[in-house]
Amino acid sequence: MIVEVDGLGVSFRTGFWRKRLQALQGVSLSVREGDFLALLGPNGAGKSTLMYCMLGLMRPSAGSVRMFGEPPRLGGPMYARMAYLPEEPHYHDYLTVDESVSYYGALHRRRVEPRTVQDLLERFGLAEFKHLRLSKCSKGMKQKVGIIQCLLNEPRLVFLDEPMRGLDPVTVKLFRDVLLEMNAGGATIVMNSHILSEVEQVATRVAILNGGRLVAEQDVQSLRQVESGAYTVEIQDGSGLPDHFDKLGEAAGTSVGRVGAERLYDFFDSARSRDVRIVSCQRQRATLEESFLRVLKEERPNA
Amino acid sequence: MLELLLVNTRTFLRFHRRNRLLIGFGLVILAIFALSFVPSLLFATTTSRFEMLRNLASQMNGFALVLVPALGLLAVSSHLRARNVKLVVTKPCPPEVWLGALFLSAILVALAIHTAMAVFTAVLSWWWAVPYQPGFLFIAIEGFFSSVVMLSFLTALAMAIHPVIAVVTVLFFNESTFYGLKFMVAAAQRSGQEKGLLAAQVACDTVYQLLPMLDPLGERVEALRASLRVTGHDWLLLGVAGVYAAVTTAFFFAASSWLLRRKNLA
Repeated sequence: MIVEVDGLGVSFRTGFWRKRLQALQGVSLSVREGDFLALLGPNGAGKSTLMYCMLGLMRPSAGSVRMFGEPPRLGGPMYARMAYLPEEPHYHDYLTVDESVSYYGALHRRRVEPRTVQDLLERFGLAEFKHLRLSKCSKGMKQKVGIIQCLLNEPRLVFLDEPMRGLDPVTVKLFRDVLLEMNAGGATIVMNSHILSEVEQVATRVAILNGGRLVAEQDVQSLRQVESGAYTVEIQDGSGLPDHFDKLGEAAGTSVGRVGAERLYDFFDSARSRDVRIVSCQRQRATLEESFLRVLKEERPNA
Repeated sequence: MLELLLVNTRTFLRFHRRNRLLIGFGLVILAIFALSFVPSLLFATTTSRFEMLRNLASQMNGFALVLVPALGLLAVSSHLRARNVKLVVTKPCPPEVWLGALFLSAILVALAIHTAMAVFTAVLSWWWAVPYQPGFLFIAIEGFFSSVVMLSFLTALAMAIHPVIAVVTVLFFNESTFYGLKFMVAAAQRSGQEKGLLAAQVACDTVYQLLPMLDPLGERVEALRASLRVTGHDWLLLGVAGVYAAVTTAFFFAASSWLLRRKNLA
């Protein structure tokens, strides 16, 4: 295991009366080498807090975290194999784009060739802004600087907190490809995101948090393997549509539609009687969004 | 580690150079200094120039004592508020190295400021044909030590509390305050009041001993400050003041490191 979280609990004291707020409670989680784990959950579920504890930025009030087999100690040698992209653009605003990239690279105790910095800046469309101070950069540009600093040390473990926030679609696609490439190369990625369509495309496992507790931890495929009670059917256009066929669209002489599971046999009978040829019939799989909402619903039936 | 220290120091020097608040603060101090000094130049006579130079050196030290601690205070508060320390400590760079670079860069800027002031005094002395006294150099070095003590004290305070509260704390709870309190308690004891005064005396003494001294040499160099003549013994005393500044800075650096490790940097 590359990251092991055991019985983690975090509580804060807030307000004038120092009221105790439980942010995390008994969270146990393991991240295997090569995983692409997405932390999901509604606002205030404790996703960022969990990530901060994994990174060693926050001290838990209970339980423990181990990374690469040891507890995280800020600035320790284990961080040479890691990268972290923060949610908010908390960078050194008084530095220029290229100064900040070089500075973050130098903190890894390895010389980053100016050519490498230039290549990365060009790849992410920042080359022409390299002399611009970060305080003058847009949020998206700062996010790109954050992404670049994650790529400088060829990390084995990457923590991404809402990585797609503020990025344009072209950069989202580019970053997604970079992440998949890194993951395919053996890098372990822990990502915290609200964009479920994005998570669905990249993550292999998800951990769902709610109210500071871990309510589900599964492979994306197994989580989505819940029947939604419907089939996607493609039929050849012919003399009218069979009964119970809910047409969704057309493609090259065929119609694609949805048929409820309870009406499937009636639909087959109707298609046979109308002499409609069925091209394909597949059980519909729930989207990650549907699965996520179902898990939350099961957790809090009244929500 | 040395490489990391240098990388961070370079970054902090960029911060000091580009910090508008700091530059503005420096310019205001310079303007106040000019307003108070330039009029006296108009009435200068050959005989009063030596006196003017002495006052000038003393005034510049006073202003540096305000400007230099602001370097550490602003560096700490600005980086903690911007929350960018987490990007440093989630790399193989220990927080102590980052903090060491913060102290080092501020001390380097302080050294540059005090050197510039000493050079300015020397140039003015040459221009006015006033024989340069080693006392000017002594005062400049002593001023540098005092600035460094104040800088490290305020930096450690800014690590623990809000920067404004840190400044207020330094303004109202300094060695002079408790020195005055010690006298008040002693006077009250002599007037025959005993109730609770022993506890007050112990408290005042303890806090007074704990607070850093900005003028560790005090009355020992009063004559030097007036005549600007330096003996071998005075240089020895200056060495002791230097050791005191180094020990105090090391103590406040250790305290700041301890606080930084316990801070929520998320």
